[in-house]
Amino acid sequence: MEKNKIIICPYEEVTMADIHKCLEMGFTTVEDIKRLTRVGMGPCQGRDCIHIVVDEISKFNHIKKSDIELMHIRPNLANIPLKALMEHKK
Amino acid sequence: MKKVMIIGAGISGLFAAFNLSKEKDLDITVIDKGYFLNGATGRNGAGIRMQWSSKLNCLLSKYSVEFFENGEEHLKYKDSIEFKQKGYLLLSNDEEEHQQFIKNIKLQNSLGIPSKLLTKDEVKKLVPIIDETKFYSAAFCHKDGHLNPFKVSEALFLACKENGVKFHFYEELEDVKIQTNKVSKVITSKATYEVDYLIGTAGSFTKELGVLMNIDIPVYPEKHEILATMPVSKMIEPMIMSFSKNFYIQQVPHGPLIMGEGGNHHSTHSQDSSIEFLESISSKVLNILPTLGDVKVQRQWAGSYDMSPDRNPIISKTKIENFIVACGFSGRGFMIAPATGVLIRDLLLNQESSIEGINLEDLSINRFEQRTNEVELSFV
Amino acid sequence: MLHYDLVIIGGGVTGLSAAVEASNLKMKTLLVEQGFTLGGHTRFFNEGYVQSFVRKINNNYVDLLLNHSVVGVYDDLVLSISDGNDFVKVQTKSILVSTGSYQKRISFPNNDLPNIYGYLTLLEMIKLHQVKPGNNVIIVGDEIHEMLIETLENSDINIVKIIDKTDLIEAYGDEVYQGITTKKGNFQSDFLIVSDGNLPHNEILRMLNCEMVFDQEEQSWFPKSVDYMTSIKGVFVAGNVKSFKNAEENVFDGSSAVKAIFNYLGEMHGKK
Repeated sequence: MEKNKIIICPYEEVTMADIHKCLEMGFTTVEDIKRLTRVGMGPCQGRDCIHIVVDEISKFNHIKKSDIELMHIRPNLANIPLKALMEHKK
Repeated sequence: MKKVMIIGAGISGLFAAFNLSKEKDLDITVIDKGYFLNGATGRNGAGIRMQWSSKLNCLLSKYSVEFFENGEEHLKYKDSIEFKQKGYLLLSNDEEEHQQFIKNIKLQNSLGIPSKLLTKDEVKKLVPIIDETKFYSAAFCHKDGHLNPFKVSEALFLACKENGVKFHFYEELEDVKIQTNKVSKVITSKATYEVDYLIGTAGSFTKELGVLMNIDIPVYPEKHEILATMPVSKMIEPMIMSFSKNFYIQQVPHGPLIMGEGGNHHSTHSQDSSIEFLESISSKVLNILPTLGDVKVQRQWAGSYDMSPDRNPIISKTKIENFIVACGFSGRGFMIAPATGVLIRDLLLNQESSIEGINLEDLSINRFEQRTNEVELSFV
Repeated sequence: MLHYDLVIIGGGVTGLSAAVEASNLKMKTLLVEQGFTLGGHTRFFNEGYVQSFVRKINNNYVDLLLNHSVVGVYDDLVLSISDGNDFVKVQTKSILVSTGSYQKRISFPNNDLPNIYGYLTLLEMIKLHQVKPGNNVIIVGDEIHEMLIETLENSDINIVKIIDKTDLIEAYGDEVYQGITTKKGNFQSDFLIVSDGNLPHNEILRMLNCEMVFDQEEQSWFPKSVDYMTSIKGVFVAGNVKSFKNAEENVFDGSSAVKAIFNYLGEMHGKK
């Protein structure tokens, strides 16, 4: 399969080739791959793609999926305009 | 071969490893208790400025800016470190702050840093969406800017690995063995190592590292919050910062606005986000950039500034002969890291500082006993 | 800031059943649902069943907030909720996470071409919006719901081929999807459906740092819970996000969880 034609994260334009570059550098966790490729940094925080990244880590490094931690989730899960936040402070 | 162990694979540890790996007889291992870039390096706003109030900080950052200007070449990196030099715009709130700006600019210019005061018209031209009635005056340096912290760190990691540096992640320092006032062994969660030199670049955890060696490293972790918005069309060129109002905002190359605030001086390792930060920062930013109301907040996170008593770094030998510490960067560890790396190497090799104008005494951990050091004033 | 005894996150049948129980127990409750309508996936199968719960909710006790999602959870169970334009700040004494599950994507070359849909998206298009994306379809994936087949047949959409995930090589098309290349040859259709099962919608639980357990059979992470309460005090879980079950089982889960929450709140109140 041509890895650079497989889009893992459409928001940050991360391809399977980008994921594999990290795996070849020796990284084994979702958090490492997130920081180096930006996968999971878009609006969905990996909802649609982290299971694919976990699959690849598992296959490449022969690690059980149960031993691969998912990434930490941060606020926000959807977007809030600055003016709405400011209004509330008033 | 002399064995060097570096605790902490953040930007300071990476630059230390990079510089030391160019020396012929050093065998270098870097350990980190978490994943790559789990600490402040992976969380920071990555602004780079030379506009400081003290000669020391001006020179540390000037050296580093000059390194970053040719970063890809120095690090032999095939990608871009995304050094965007569109300047830092500093806003004063009153006459007192304005006078401090004048003083700072005089010092900066004398050191070859091209900062200057801008008129309100010039500020408006630079940032058309700014409300020019909401600040008193402004200072600007066009060579200040912003870097991509992940790209820089990746570049260093690759360059270090190329030079034979070993990295162990998820490995935590647990104890040290000291013999005749030197660290002889390091015990981690995974193994025991014999070492000739130990370097502590563990960010806000360097204090705990010092405790293992009975050294009081006077730093504390201060939580700083930050947010990123959805990508928007290009609207802000420079970083905009206010010391008195305690916030900053900039636009990064792929579109989002990044903004953050100062901490509240409580010592905490907590990196939890708060709703209060969202309310506070939105209010500050919309006061000065009122047309940003519809811009949407996408993500918020936090990181630690490791604060020193005078807000200046500690890059120093210690009472343990072969233990060197680099911490207390007080929010600018990233932007002076090239200088940090070189100075750590100088300390290890028992050389004078190889950066002109910088005296290693001013960065020494012993300075707090003397209390003659200059406090840095220009910070968020 | 608004104050509630309970915030139910997710208005599928689990959350609806929970809301009915909460209103019976006179708990001041907010039900937050990110869709325009209530009922989650059950809307595609049995709208009448969904409405049977909606009718039983007592609006004196339960506020419904549709088209909004819980965007952030903070210390002391403070929530930020938004529809993308507003900001609703809520302080609650307890949370019930009943966010259900969502369709799993699979990765293959050109998986981002237009006219490639997840199976739930397809069901929503046909059942809720009366849109027919084409006359013939290929389905790829290892978990094909019988309701999907039934819906396609009832809409006069011809199923050209059903392909296993492992046989798929790539999708192709100039600017939109045209067909797939597989180990067994090339096939073409108007559109492509990916049907590979679901993943639990557990972001809120992970944001709260709830302890999670990996389920080998489902190959997914589910929250550790005792009597519906997760490892975080005051945070409860029910429905498919707790474990995959059918609608009736989830309905029971929702109401049982609220009974547990009611007891918990009583204990908390007693301690004061």
